Amino acid sequence: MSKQNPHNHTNIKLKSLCKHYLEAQSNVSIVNNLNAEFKQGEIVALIGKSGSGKTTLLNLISGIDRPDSGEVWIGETLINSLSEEELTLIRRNRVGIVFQFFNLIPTLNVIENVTLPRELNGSNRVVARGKAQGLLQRVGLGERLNSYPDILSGGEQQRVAIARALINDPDVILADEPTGNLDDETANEILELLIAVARESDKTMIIATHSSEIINYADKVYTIHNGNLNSG
Amino acid sequence: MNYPLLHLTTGYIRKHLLQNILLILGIAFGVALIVSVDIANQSASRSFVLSKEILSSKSTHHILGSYSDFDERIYQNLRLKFGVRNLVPIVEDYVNVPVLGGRTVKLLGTDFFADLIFYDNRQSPLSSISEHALTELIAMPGTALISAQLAQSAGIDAGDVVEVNYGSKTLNIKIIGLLNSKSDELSKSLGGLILTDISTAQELLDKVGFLSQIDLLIDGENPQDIEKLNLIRDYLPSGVEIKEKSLLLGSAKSLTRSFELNLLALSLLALFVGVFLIYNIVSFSVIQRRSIIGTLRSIGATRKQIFKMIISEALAIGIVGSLIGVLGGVFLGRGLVGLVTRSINDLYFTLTVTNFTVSPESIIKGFLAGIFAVGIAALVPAYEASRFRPINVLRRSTLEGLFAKSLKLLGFIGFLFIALGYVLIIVSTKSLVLSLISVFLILLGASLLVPICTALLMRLFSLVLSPLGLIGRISPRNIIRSTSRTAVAVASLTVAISVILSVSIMIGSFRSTVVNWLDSALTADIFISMDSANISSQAGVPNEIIEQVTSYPQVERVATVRRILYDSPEYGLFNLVAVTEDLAVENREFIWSESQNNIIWDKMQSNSILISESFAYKNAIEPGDGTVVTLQTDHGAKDFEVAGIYYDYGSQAGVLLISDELYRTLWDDDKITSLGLYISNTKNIETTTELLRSGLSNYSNLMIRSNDNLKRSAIKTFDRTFTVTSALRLLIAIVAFISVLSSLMALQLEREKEFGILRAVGMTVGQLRKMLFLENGLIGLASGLFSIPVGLALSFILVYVINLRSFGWTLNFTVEPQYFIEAVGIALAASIAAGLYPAYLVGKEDVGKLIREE
Repeated sequence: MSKQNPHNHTNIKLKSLCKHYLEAQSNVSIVNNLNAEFKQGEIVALIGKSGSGKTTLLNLISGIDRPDSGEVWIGETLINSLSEEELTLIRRNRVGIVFQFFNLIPTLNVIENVTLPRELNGSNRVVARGKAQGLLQRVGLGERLNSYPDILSGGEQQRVAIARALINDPDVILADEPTGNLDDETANEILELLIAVARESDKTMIIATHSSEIINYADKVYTIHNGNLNSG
Repeated sequence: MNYPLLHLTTGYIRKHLLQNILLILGIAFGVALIVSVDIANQSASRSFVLSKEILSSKSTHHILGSYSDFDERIYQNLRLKFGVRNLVPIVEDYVNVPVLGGRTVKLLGTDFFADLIFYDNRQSPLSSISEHALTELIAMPGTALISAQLAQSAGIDAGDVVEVNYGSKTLNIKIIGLLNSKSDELSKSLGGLILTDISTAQELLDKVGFLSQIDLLIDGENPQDIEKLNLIRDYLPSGVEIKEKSLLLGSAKSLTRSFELNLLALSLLALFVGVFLIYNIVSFSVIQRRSIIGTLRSIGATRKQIFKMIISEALAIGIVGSLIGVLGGVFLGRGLVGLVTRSINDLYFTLTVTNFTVSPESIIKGFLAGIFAVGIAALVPAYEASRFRPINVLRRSTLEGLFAKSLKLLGFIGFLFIALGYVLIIVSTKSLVLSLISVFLILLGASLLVPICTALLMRLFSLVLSPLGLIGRISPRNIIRSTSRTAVAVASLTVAISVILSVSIMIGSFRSTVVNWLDSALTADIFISMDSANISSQAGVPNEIIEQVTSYPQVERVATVRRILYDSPEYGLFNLVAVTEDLAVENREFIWSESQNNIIWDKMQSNSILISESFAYKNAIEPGDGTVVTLQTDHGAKDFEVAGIYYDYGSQAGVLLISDELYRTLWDDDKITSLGLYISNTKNIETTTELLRSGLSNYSNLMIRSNDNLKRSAIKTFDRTFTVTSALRLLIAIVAFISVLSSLMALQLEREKEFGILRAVGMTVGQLRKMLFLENGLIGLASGLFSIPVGLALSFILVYVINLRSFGWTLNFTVEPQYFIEAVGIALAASIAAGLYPAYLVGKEDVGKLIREE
């Protein structure tokens, strides 16, 4: 898959970002005065050891977690000053998240899992289902619309999660170890799929991963070390 | 349990403190109810013994009239002619003491010299009385002794004159000494007593020449005593009998047995609901730790060790809960003793002593019940935990899948339990215990049917609520998907609400039956009786009042009622009621009668009587021509033909209704218990009542009440009787509430990650809470709806089986829509209220923390 030139305008901007956790009565710095910018359509790989802070950084960008200091901008919105409710709406509409453990809702079937963020928006169910059907077709699950998550394989569940991440046409896709729970062959398939859908829809995508395969696909690769990002 | 497992267990309990506090609370409430009801029942029994057996604790036999006092010459003859020495004459009746707030105490006269035979010198309460006071007591009329305790509570000193009310008389009694006893029991007994010399009592109570009782001490192993006993039996005239004390107490106590058994059943129901709570929390704690348990298994923990770990943990919590429950039970028991004693005073007999006894037996019983409930409830989860395979292979969804597969089997077992309960009711014709067991079987069966019914109902809700959007669609499905948890919440709430509903229907049916019965039984316009706060008083209305009231032009005619508590060897204790005319004549409802209502009264003038349903039930008298009841009259044994069996709810002991004319010819009794007055112009009832009150004001303690007034007073007594039931019903609801709260909390904890995902993908806290409210509401609604058929079935059993077997009364089954609205409303309110805290918590957690993997 060929690399694509990113657009020029900045989609995500991180300024002097810091995050500490209290561990055994001492502060452990996970993100330390981190500055970065990610442009629209850019596919960024975050690699680093376990516990290096990849998930924390993604959580800060998605508003799942809040920084101790610094700023997180998504487009023109400074998200760390938003209320919990506003952050939820940002996640719902502007950020699509793909988790390592898929995190599908077991009580909903495939198509319902995908339409969930759209229906939470109050969108018409028929329209939402139409869009979800298209996305599921795209990720290769057009025949499994009514299956429940617990009967799908790991790879299939992750495909559903990708479709769900795209349903509200977000500006940003954040993927946290999306292949970490899959075998090599399936992992490659999922990675390729993610890259493809991000490229097709011109999304900014940040993938946190252990996988070195990503180097072949990403526009930029950062290593997270001592709470900061190093290029390459 | 070895140290690492113990460490894991204590760590788990610490980490999930709130969950375990709820468990402790649930157990504590269940145990507290059992302990308090047991304390109340035992205290009432003790009060009974203390009230009845005040002084002659060593006596073995009593000589008693079948219905009233007997000639004192019997005592003299026994002593002089037959040489019986160990006997004490007693004259007694109940009086009210205004200075004690109208409390009923027993005025008891005895022969002090004879009475000493029942005590050794140290124990006798008279040992604290000076010789001078004793001489004064015997020589001076109107003198008495009371206990120091009673004197203190009324602010009475030796030498004071105390006013007491007896019948229409006000007596002035001089207290010349205060009784003290080293025996705690005797001190309590004396607290309900005014003690006089026998002749004083005879004068004060208008019983000159009569005795109420003779106490005897007979050695059952001494041939001479046995011979004397036989001589006494042969000598005693008709209507006077010698009875073993233990049998006598048993006969009276048997009256309250059903009442006490019903209270016990209600307390067991609370524990039954508590079992759901324990099961739910223990089962949840196992599922929550399935990964840890799997790991433990993989590193060598045996199944037995895991089983022991879970059971020990539950039992440890059970011990704490039971101990708290025991303490709570003692505290609760204090309140309950008052309510139970009041009900017994209203319904059965007068207790002059309210005793509060906490026996080790009550404590042990409650404690063991708590431990047993925990053991039973934890058994299944502990077994499940021991079956976990090494490493976490059982996912939540797999567990739910297994549970979903067992729904039909559970339902089938539930159906079998219900069928067994039904068979028990049909087969056991009179056993109250078996009927109560069948109630429990039906409740257990219904709770096993709840999971499958919940799943089906939620499918329906899912369709119905689908137009409401995403939340409407997924909420019922969430409940189905967590049936193993939600079904326990629904089942415990269903059981509790159906009990509440059935008890409401039963009380409502009872109330409406009694109201209807009062309307038909009380036809006179004005009633005159003695203002007696106790059911056992023998004091009657002065006979001359009849003449006085008939002189009023407003009074058309007067009917008299003579009611005596009759004790017969064949029929036990019952009320013999003699009436000058059948007050209920046309309205009287019969189960069976040999002829029409208007002809029956004519037959009753010769040799026929009517018996109440409870009398017939208690004595297994079948309806039909030729049935005969034989009673000892003052003129020998007499056979009475039963002309009908009628519905009566005035006495559990049963009523035998006889015409006054027939009664007076057979019994030498000229007393009247009450009068029923018929007024020429019924519009003037209240004014005539007032006229009579002022005209008869020279009689103190006379109660003159209009028909309406008397009915209101009867209904008030009825409502008071059910205060205990209502209190227990409320406590059951509290246990159910804790059970639902714990279920919802457990469910919420278990679904934390799911909530985290929902929030991560864009569900706002408000939407999440809305979803939780809807789920909780659906759980409440399902419980309320299920409780309707279960509650109806239970109320049928309560009304038509338990009540009949407990009291011998058939009630009219009355159902009002408000009961069902209340049931569904309570279920909804309980589940929504129980969901408030979990819903509050759901917005507090950090999304990142929630979605992090275990």
